[in-house]
Amino acid sequence: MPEPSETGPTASIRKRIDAAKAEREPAAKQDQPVSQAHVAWRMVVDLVVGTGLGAAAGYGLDVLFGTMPLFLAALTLLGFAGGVNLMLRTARELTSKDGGESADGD
Amino acid sequence: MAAEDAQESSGLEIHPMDQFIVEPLFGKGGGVLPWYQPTNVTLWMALTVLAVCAVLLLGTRRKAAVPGRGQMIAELAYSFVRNMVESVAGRDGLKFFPLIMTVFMFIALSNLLGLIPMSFTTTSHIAVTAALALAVFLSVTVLGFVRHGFGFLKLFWISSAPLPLRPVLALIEVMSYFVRPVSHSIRLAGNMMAGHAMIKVFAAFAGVLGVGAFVPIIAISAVYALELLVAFIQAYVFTILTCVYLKDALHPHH
Repeated sequence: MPEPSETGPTASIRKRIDAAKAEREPAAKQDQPVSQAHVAWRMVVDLVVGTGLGAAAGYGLDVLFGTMPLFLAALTLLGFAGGVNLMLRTARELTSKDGGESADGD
Repeated sequence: MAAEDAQESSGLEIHPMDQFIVEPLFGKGGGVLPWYQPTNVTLWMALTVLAVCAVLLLGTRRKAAVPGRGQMIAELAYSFVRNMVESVAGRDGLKFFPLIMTVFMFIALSNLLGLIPMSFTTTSHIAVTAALALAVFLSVTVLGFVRHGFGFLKLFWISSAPLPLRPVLALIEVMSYFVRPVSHSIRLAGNMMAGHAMIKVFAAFAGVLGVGAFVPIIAISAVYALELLVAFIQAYVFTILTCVYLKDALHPHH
């Protein structure tokens, strides 16, 4: 008896299973339009908090060591860079989730 | 100046932040409260825990094959969070599903309880959200070190970048890592506080406008609907970010 590998009823059933799976796939992404605005919000908060945290940490270190503008300037910039980094990562998450669709947009 | 006078004569007093004052349940407030003093925060957090138990335990009490409304809510919440953990953190993240489910239910229900008029929104306090975010941050960091030892630090060492750039990028990555718990907590508290303060401001307008009060009342209804949405979305955002951090701890290699 030949192996019914890729022909006959098995293949058609597999095709139907794949079709059903593909049909169910988009249902999991229902929250997309709503969460979109919150992704933007997330980026803004990350950016602001990054800068703020850097400035606060820098100020603290400066007061501690008496090197006033040194750490403040360095860590504020570093915090800003950290915020940008988080923002870019969020953007990357978004594009990888949507596939090519939003990658074309930018 | 004229506007100021008009406001004073019509008695417009807006105290949108009064709703966030922490008061002791028994006795008088004012001054520094001792740590053991039960306050309205304690009360509403306890109520949140009770509400979580009610939704999940009472809802699934009958274990019906065809779920009723209560069981439906509990099952939906369960599968929603479970799918989220599995899709974001992967299959080995499912071990930490109980923690994430707890965080989600606590935040969602405390946001929702806060929407009851005259209630207290515990998640509008950074003290509460920072405790949650720190719990997530610390457990994820400890988990990363337990799982990978010092290999966890590879999370900050981007091996795909050119070698001279790596120390700089590592500094930035470390900074980002510490920014995350802060923004994690500020985002939730800020959202809840802003919405509730806005409702209070509109309510103060309604109090002095007389017949015209229907305008702010319609606005309050609209903001309330929005807040209902925000209550869920913020719980969702907090939870999904917890999953993302968990994924970083489980798989620190980019």
